[in-house]
Amino acid sequence: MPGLPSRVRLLDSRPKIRPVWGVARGRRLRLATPALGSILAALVWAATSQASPSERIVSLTPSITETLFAVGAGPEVVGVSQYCDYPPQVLSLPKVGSFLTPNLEAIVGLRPELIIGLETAANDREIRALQGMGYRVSLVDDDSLAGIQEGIGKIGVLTGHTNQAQQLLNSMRRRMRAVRNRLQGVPARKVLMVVGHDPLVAVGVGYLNQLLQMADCVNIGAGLDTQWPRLSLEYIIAAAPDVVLDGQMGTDPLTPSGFWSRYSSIPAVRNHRVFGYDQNPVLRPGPRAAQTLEILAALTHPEIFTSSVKRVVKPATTDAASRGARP
Amino acid sequence: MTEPAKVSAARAPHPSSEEGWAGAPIEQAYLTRKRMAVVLGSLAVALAAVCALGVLFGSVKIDFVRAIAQPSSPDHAILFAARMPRVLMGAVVGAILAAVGAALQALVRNPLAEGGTLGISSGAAFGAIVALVVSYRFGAGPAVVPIAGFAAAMISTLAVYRLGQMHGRIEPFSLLLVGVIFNTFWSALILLINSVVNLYQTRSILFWLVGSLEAPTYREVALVGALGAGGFLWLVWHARDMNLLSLGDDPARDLGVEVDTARRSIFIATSLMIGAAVSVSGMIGFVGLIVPHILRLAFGADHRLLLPASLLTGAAFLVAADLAARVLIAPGELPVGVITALCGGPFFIYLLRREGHQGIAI
Amino acid sequence: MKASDPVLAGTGLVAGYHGRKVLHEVSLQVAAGELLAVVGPNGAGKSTLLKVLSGNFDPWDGVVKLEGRPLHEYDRRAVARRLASLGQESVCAFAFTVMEMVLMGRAPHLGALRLESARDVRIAREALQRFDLLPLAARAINEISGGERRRVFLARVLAQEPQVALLDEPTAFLDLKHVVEIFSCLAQLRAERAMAVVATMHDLNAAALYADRVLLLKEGRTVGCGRAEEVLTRENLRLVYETDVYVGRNPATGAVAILPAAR
Repeated sequence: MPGLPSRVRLLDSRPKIRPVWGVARGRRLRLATPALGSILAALVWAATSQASPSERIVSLTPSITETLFAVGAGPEVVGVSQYCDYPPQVLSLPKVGSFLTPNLEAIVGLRPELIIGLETAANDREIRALQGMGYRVSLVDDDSLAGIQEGIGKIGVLTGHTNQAQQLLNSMRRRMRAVRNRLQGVPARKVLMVVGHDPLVAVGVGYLNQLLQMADCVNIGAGLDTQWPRLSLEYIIAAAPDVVLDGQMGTDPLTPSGFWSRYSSIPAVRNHRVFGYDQNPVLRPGPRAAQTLEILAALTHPEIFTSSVKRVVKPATTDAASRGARP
Repeated sequence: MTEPAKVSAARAPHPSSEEGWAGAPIEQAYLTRKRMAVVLGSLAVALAAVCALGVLFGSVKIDFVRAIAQPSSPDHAILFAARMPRVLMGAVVGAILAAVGAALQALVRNPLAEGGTLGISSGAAFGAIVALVVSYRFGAGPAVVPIAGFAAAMISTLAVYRLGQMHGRIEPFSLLLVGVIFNTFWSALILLINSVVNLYQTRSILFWLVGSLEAPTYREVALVGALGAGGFLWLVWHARDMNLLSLGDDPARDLGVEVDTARRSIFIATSLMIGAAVSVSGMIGFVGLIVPHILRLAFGADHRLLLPASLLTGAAFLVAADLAARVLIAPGELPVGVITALCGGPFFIYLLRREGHQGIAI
Repeated sequence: MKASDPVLAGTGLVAGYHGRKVLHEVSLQVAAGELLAVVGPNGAGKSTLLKVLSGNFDPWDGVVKLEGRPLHEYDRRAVARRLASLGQESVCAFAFTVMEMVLMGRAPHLGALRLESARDVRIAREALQRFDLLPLAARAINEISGGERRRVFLARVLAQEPQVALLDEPTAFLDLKHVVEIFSCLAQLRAERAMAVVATMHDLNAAALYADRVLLLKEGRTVGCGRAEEVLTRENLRLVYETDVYVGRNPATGAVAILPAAR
């Protein structure tokens, strides 16, 4: 439906989806539907009119989805990206592609009143197309902590849940401050954090680097100025990190820890400080940043956060026989 | 009775149509034992030199004295756990890719054939990826991957060979076209899988598409080396057959070659080798194209020399390319497939234009 | 009648492609030292006949016997040691040298991994010499002219040291001088080694001049087999070529000479 400039026209020309029922029942339903529909619409409008300016929200990325639910705008979300899986309710929501490849037809079919996406060049064309069609599109940034916090605030305003948004931000900041306080005066640890070791993709600059710094760590992947550098094994061995965090070990229970045990000159390997982490909350920017920080702090300074260590994945020891082939 | 043939270290460069070369001594015109020894000997020395360079240099400077004296030092680990196996793996994979390229070119009678251009590497990669995804789900052992790569390579080779024929004869254009189509097809399937697995596996899959030699173990090197050596010996056994096969099926038969048996053997051997190589290093392209061609220009088309020479030179080539990949953006790394593609793309175009002028059946 | 057993004999050969019969029970035999010319118009099945005789093409019926034994009882290399074939080859994909090409003729006599010995090299050189190819020995096969290439393939046949040579249009692309050369060379070989030759030819006069016997085919059927005078008669030729010819004698050689009768 190209070129629709106003909302009124949008509602009038909604796609008519014919359910597969018997004709007689269909006719009766067709008579009943407008009546029922208007009653329902009135109720809904009454219930939510003063609360949110937007009733139908589509989110294009997991961090935005999580934020929407965290600030209480969950019921208004009608569509999410294919990668969204938290909180669990979103698994049953319709999928509209991802922020890289938003599916315009799916988005439009949901008749959204607000679309929230990422401020990145990757989906520029689709965003402009949606705006051209007259949809309201807001963009947030999740590349950095500051961006995430701004995004939370912005989403709070857009959805009319400013109070919850503020509470969320306060709680995040409080938790993060608590972690930093506990780490006051503790010497920094050299850390290598990788998305996986096959291929070897490290965490570079960006949001996770900021969290690592807050967790009193020196990220050896940060020197290259890119977000996901492919570090050479030699460099890693030479840099001698004290702790290695490997996301491939966290999500994949079959991945042998044998990979790291081959390089026993690395202090992290020698001292049994190679930990797997669950890629799902940790690599995802979003409102669970504080939780991620706590996980990172617990993994990198286990002697300070002893109670939390039990919550995360068990450390990989140098026991497992190297299986040799790539998993 | 003529005197025993005198030796020259390398044959005269490929003669142009000038009359001047018509008088080249006959001893340079065919393969002698001494020439084989000299050529292969020099190539082996060159390979050793390149490997030494590959071990001496890398993304990080190390202290070699300390590396050898102190087994617990990071220098030792870098040298023996990171660099050495990588150089060895580069040599093994490069050797395999070049030898397979030479064999495939004999098989399909076309100098533009190799694992990459015929879509066989991408088929093997697809098989390996499917095996990866499946084994991740169902917990199968890691040996599944090279086996799947081998099986997929065989299917791919067969399909390309069958479809590249018209009226029972191999047509070069059809063959290359079919190869391009298969490349696209397998790559599309790989990307399809890429889009249905979870977000974090996609990076691992993209690695297959470019090819790299990251973090191999000595065990992997030994496994691929053994498979490659076995396949290579099998190919060498058919080296003379390859010479005769390049004349055509009927002339080869007239000269005593069991054409179907020989072809089948070459199929299986090359698929085995490519399956093994691709399953550890992804799709590294163009090695099998560049190396045999240059060697043919320098030393002649006799496969009894070309095969072992390709083995040695391919190894050196890939080790050198990997050195570049490790050093260019240190401490970051480029995938080695990028380097070979950068060399190979322009070379392929040059080949295409040159072959056309030479009147070779293209 | 033959004094010795034929070195190559095909009996009742029936062959075809995709349901279309090309050879209808053709029989022939050639004795050691004999040159049998197979002539006939295009599509008469000459090339197919040669392919069947060399074992490259399976006949639907009939049997080919080499040195008295059926062809299928030999393995490929055993056949190749006794029988050499020259078809209508296309350009090779790789730039082998002339010498390498001729040396390939020695392949049936060598094992899988053995390099050519000094004797093999000598045989190849002699073959090159006979066909006046020594100056070209180091040239690449795809750089020489079509006629030179033809002679290289003939040299290869020679190097193979066969008992029987099957040559498909051996004089195609060759100028007069080389045609004469080829046949005198073949005559020498037939005398020295009792090598039998079966050659398809389009040139009736050359066939009449050089061949001991002629086999005339039309549409896969034998029209005549025997000496040139007996087979290349006016009636036979009119039947086969559907055109009137004048059959006379070449005053210089005494051989049958065939010329068109009408313009």
